[in-house]
Amino acid sequence: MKVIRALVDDEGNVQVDLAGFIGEECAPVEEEFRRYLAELGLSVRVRSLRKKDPRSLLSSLQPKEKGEHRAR
Amino acid sequence: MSRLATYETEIVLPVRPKPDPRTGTLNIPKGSLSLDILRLALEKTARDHGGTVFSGPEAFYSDCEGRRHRALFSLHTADFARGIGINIAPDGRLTFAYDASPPEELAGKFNAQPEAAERICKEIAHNYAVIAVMRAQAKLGFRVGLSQANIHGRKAVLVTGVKP
Repeated sequence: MKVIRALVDDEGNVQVDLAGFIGEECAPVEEEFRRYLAELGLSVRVRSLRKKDPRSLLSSLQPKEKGEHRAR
Repeated sequence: MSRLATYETEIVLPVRPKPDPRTGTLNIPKGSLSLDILRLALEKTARDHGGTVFSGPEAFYSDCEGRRHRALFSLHTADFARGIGINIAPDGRLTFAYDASPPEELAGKFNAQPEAAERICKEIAHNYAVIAVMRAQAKLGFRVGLSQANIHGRKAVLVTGVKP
């Protein structure tokens, strides 16, 4: 399942998280999303853009130190 | 693969209203998606503040001396009854015009609530961004849902598009 989550803050800025895409598939979708926004009158300046593959996602969820997730 | 992006946004409409040669009022082109979004954003903001949206020859905002100034749209609310004029600059940027200064005779004694006007303008821009994001996701073939969110105590809206 492909998901686009867009969080619009009170200043109208947008944080976008595209998930569930295969390989580099999400890059053109994100670009198309921006193009559609511009067509709809929402001009976008990209402040940050980064990829997250499943391995990095997994490693970011791993405990950094032993015992960090020890059951109480 | 997942991708995270952060955008700063600005409303720049790809349409230019044309002045009516007889009356001088600006005509709003019909069938424009961006003007449709603007109208919806204004109506949502008006509903949230118990206000009214005017367009065409009825749209105006008042200055501190009671003079009326024309606008493409205007939004009048209980907390800012002078109204906010909404226009489109020649480069397509959305502009807000209002006068939050006190009447001369009440200077220093009267609070015209400039914060109320600023807050309303921000809400219009926020509502515009939410509707545009929803429509862009739908155009990409996603099923779109909305939920309220909170970022460090500030209100936000989460637009979630799902494609099986």
